[in-house]
Amino acid sequence: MNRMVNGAIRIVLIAAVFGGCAADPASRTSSGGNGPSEVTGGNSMDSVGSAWFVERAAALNLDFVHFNGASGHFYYPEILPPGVGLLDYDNDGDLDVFLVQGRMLGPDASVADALLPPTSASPPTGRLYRNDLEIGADGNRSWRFVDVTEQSGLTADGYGFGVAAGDIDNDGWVDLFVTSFESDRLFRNGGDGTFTAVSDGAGIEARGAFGVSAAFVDYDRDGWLDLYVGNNVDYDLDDRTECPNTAGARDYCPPETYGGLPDRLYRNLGNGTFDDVTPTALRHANTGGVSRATLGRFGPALGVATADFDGDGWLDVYVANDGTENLLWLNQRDGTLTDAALLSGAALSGLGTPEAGMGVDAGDFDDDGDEDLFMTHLTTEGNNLYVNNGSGMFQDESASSRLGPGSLPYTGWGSAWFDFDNDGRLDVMAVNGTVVAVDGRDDDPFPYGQRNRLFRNLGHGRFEDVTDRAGAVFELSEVSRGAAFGDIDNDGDVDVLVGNNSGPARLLVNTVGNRRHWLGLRLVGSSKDSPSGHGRDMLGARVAVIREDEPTRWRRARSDGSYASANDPRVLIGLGESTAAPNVEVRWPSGRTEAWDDVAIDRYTTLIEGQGRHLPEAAR
Amino acid sequence: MRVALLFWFAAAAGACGGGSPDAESEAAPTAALPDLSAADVFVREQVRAQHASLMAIVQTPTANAGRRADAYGDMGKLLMAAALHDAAEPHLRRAQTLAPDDARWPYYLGHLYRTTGALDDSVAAFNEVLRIRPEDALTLLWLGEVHLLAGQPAEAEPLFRTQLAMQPDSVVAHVGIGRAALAANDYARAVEFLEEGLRLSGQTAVGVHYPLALAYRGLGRLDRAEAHMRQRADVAILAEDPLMEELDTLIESPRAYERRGNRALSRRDWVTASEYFRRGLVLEPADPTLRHRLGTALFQMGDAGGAFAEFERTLQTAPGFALAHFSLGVLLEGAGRRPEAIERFEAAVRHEPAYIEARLALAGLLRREGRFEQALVEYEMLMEQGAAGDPRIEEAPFGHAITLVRLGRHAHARDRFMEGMAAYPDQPFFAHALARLLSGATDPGVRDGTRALALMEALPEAARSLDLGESMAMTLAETGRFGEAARWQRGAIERAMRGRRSDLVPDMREKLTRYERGLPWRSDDPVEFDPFLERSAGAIR
Repeated sequence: MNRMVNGAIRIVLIAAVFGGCAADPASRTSSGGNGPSEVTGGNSMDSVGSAWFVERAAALNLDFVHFNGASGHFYYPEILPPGVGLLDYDNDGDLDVFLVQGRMLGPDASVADALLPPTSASPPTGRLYRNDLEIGADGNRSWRFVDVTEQSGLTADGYGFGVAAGDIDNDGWVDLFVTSFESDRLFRNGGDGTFTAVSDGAGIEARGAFGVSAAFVDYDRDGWLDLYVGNNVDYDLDDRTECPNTAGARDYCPPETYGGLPDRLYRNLGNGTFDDVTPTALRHANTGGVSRATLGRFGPALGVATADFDGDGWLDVYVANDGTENLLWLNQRDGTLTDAALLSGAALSGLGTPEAGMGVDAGDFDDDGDEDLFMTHLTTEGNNLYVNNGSGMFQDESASSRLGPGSLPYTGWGSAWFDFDNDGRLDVMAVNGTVVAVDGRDDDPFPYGQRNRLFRNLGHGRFEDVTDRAGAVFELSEVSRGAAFGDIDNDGDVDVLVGNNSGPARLLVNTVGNRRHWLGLRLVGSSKDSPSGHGRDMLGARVAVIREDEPTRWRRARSDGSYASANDPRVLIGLGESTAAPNVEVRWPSGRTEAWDDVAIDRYTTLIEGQGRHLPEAAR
Repeated sequence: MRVALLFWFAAAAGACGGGSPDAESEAAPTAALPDLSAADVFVREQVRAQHASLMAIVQTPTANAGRRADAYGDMGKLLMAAALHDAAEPHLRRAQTLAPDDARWPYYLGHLYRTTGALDDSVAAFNEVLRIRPEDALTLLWLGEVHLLAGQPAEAEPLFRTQLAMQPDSVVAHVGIGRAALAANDYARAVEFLEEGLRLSGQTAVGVHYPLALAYRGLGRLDRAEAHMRQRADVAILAEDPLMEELDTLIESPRAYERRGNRALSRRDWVTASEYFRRGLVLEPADPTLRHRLGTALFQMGDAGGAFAEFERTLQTAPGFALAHFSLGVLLEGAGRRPEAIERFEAAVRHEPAYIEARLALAGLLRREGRFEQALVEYEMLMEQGAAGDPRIEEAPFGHAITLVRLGRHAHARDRFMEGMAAYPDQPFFAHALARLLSGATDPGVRDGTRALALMEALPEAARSLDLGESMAMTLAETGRFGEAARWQRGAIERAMRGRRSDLVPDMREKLTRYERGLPWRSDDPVEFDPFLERSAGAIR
């Protein structure tokens, strides 16, 4: 039976090189033979004719296949995972991979009951793959992934949804937060290749919650990463609600069947523990007709992105809710955040309708210095583009940008702003897969697959759908959910890791981006007090890339965004045909602003807070 | 809009009469039936029967093109109604080919393509309708809507204007022009047309408030924007659409009737809802959901006896149907049959332990019956089930705290009220109850008059007026300000008498006497009030 929502009835109803890795000339040669000086104009990509993305997961030993445990009961959690994560857990300078796994659900459930049996005989569990990328002095490379789950001690054996990555103890080793149906789990990186589950002692294990996406964010500027967890629905496996589709066939129920659960904000106390500050830190708005307690406005959360949306230098939080108003928690600079989504114009569609927010990412696609939002939605709703006016007020430009209409037939999930072709403009990709069975697929045991879509930024607020030119991997119809974006092969362009429900993980290797020039930055804190000697990635730091005769490009270090996934925390900025070393300005989450001049291009450079030229307030 | 209906049927009739026998094979479209194995038996049989009918006509040599077009079209409509869009499309296209002047088929195709996101195809289909009927108002509006969806306000606006010229008081056309203006960032014009649309609707087009708020925000008039934001509602502003409404009635299955019934319930059309549920039960008499919802509709119609009978019949076929147990419990409680109601609530949570509302009802009723220890067990279970902090059920932590008060566990109750204040900062009754507890508790370790007074003074004005000033008098007395306390209490007594609550006056005078003697008031139950007391009685409306 429907829960509370159906009440009417119910009431009776980083200047060190990152890992020492410069861009690999050999990789350029292999991906088109063009060195930076040989890159041609804007249409060269099209004339080259080779695939922009090549799927290489299996070839690189990334042999993970997701298991959703479906047994015909249509348990609601089955349709949501998996998220995927990119993180350099061993600090060797390349991105490793964590993949969320499912398992059987329900009492007395056996793998023998699975409609889509697991591909491995071993019990399903989240898997950690070490990236063994080696680039020789001659540019030759060897690249493979090695499953190191067992030796890592990372035991994520719950019914997993998503993953977030961040260094919670400032020791320079990135830690992991895994959301799952039974309870969320925090794993501390020991710096020796192993992880230790610390949830209980840290005070953030939420039993009975339904965390999907989470984000590490230092909202209170105390130098420690706090944690925002987006919870989904109030679901119990004993719930017997059946939701037949129009033709009477049983399918997964919509989230409103169960109602949303309150999200959680955990403040990092800096001593290995967190304090749940949800009731006191998250405040309701004074506008927009909100008269109930803040808690009353949480929806079934699916996507979380953090950024400074109103330009005040403090990090805010945006939450994409499934079927209810989205949330925009604006930082009040006093330890509280106030939801201002409604009047900001980012809570609802342009028609005032709550939509099924899935994945979300923030990025300055129009190079005006503020963070704009891209969100994925259900079929017929279309993806949304909310354009920021700089003060945290948004305008829905989904239709005029063409991002909305082009996505109407798709149910989108993981997504991100990324400059796949390094022309300097942020493009966007959405991975897709329905939540209701697609009719007419008689032979498909899990008929929820759709093609993923790639949209190129044409400038002037317009995008074009370039999926058909992106490579054969974009012709696959899979049930994609999570997507993590990052330069996995350290060749200067952004690759994409895609998690498919009841399907293989896909590694989309970008072969086109590094035909142009790029700037790679790792923004880290001081390593002075870090036992590892590494500073942590300063998630939320904003960087301006300043060049003559070019618009200033603003990017930010982040691992959040997309859907239930963790992204490359490094910043990669496409420079197009420009070979000039740009000047760089960094606004750190602490509020400090620093500058670096003539930063080398076509390689990764680490910028350490406190080692740049301090900019006084007036110079900003 | 009813004019449109007449046109449509006239056009259809005209199309049906035309055409000539066509001997070409038409097997291809009919072979495109989807996999129906997962569909329920009713839909499967209905689609197959329609398909058989189609095949019979197709294989009739004398059937002219118009008749075959209708057969294909009807098949396409049924598939479209079942949301089997891929299967529906070729049938509707075939109908269009056979009857090129019948506007129904491109009209349905326009909607089908709009629904599946194929906007270019939708535009083409609606334009085809306009080729046949250039001034069809509904098609102009829908084509405009599709252009807005496609980010083409410049193409949309002339269509709305054409319709407006034909119908100057059209709410939909005004709102369409306003939305096109808003999409073009012409905020002043957006306000003009959206306001006019709202006025013409008699303020009933509440779906206008959100775009209107955005238009005012664009003009920098945030006060107006906020005002409209407060009034927003997720209600589409659409013209009556007989053809699409007809589509909605085609599927005859228990689930289809259930959906229609539920929609009727949502719009508070109890009679229609009951009819739909009854028709569903004809097809599937033992369906507990349909029967329970029929009971719901009957109750809303005022037929509590009928509702009771349906809930009981639900349990005859599905003894573990927790919802019916809960509903019966609410009815029994409303009838004053509290022990029986408790049994029903207990049955509901026994069959569905995570049924929060039922457990909440059980806990509340046990509390009102004075069975505090049992109530406390249920409240604690609710807390374990995550009810604490849940915005929808602030009654749970409040009831928990009140029960603790009744059991004399004042320190524990104080802590629960404080947690409630933190979790529900805009629900004043937590602070109010805490203030009374801190003022009147018999436990000196709990009493804190200064803090109680601060809590009372921080309460919103409206909340303070609710307790007739008596709580303020209590807190003042606890801080030794007996003169002020007596003045507040006298005022409270006057208000009680004016409010025809003379039944409260004797106790209030007793308190007054204590204040006049320089004595604070003490009680084992200093909170007294319960904002949720009438909840169950009000649950069934």
